[in-house]
Amino acid sequence: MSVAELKERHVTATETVNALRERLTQRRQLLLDTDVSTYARNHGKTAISFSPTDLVCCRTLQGHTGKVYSLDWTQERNRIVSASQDGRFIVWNALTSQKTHATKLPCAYVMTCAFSRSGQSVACGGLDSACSIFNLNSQVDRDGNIPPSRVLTGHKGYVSCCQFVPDQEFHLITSSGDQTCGLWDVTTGQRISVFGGEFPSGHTSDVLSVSVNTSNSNMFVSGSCDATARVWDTRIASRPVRTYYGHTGDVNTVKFFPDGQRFGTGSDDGTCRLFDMKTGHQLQIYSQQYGENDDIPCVKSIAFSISGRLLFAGYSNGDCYVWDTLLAEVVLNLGSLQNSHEGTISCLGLSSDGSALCTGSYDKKLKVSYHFLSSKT
Amino acid sequence: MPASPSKTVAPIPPALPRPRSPPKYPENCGTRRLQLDAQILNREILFLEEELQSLEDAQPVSICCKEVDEFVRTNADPFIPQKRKHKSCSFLRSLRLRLCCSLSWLCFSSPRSPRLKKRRKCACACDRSNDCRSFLNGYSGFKCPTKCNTRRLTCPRCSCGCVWYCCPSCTGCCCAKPCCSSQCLCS
Repeated sequence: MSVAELKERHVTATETVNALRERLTQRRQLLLDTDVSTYARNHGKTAISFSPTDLVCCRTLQGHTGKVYSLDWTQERNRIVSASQDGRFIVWNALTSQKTHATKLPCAYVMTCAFSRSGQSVACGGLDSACSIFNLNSQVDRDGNIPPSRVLTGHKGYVSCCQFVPDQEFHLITSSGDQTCGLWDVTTGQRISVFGGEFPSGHTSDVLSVSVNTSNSNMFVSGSCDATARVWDTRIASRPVRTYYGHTGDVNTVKFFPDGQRFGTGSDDGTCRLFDMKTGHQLQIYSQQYGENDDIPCVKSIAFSISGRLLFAGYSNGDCYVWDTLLAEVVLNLGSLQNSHEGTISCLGLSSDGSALCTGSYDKKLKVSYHFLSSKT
Repeated sequence: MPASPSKTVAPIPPALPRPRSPPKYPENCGTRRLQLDAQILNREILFLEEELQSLEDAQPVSICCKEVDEFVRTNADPFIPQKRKHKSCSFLRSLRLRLCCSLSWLCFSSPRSPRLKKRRKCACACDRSNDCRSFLNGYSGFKCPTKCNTRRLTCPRCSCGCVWYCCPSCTGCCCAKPCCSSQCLCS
């Protein structure tokens, strides 16, 4: 086929794609009979009320000498691992603030860290395009650092995010600047599957975040600089289950809703959104009003409370909004409280029982907060 | 009559050499790229048609909203405590237990601790400087230099995780105390 014929086919196919997308948008519009906040108001829901003293910061974890980029809780024993621009990961006892492990990483430019299900291992990834696995029970070297037990290589770009599959100790999902996600066996170091890439239909730009479905660990969602989120089935790497459109900027963070049927996203466009996994519907936008000349802060990290009623969102300007997910209202700004972080909230996460929130920031600190009344028996 | 000599015309210099146009190689790179793009677009068309088909039977957004509402309503949330008493979560129970144990150690082991009267309540774990809701009764000399009556749980002067209490007579970092077993990274 000649180049001219190919170009003509290309133009025709592009027109077909655009027409189909338009039809999809119109079809979705017909099904968009309400959103979560309108539904909740019509059914008599009232807003959650928080006073500034309701959420208590009970721990400030200090020790990093650089921006905190990532954190993760263990499933039990209340430990937190954090990774920082200082090139270290630190494991904290969240109850005592004591550091149980502090290790210099092979590559100082770390972007993500995660605990394994048992809490025995930590995975860290970053600009070295690899993910290093550390066994916390290993002997330290003479510098006091834990050597990596395995290094997962294969990505052709930075590793932006990683998460262990909840019910499998040795399987890890990664996202990368090479536009793909990977499923790895950490015992062998082998990459089991690649999700996306040039031929399989996947993200068309850097992938920044992943979240594995705790209700069905075969499913995970990824967020990308191509402004989409995609849900994948780990058993079918050739194509995503579905692609979710709506954001107008990089999707920096994704997190499954506690019921496993929905997921939330946070983006450079300053909004968080709630999507329905099965239908692809956008159920709600969580957005503040900004003036025309205002700089719109980016959403860097999100987490849902255990019931899903609250959405915690960390922003690039240091705000940490607590959204009422049903009414789409901000009920508290943790960033405006006394003793709050002094910089971008880069990461946040809830403990496994949902009672404590840990936030990490560019101010080099982590803070653990809980609701004052929930501590009373 | 001799023929008039013909005029001598300067010979036309040969044409200056000119580079030849490159041979017309087949545009493999461009063609290959277009073929790949066409494949990707064809796949995209297939996926979009499948998605359109799936929307024929899709439930409206209101059903999804109802499901979200039901889920939220039927699940308790430690960040939204109910008015009636309920069991505290394991993390917070552990935290309160640890607070009590730590405070007990401070009361009876620290050489600097003043003589204490009977303890009535555990301190809250707040880090605030405004009035807190829990307080210690009968702990004279334990008043925080700021307005808050609570005990601090992390040493404010260094980054270690040792327990420290608000006492005006306690100066400097307490890293040297036996209670502190973590390695201090601030140095």
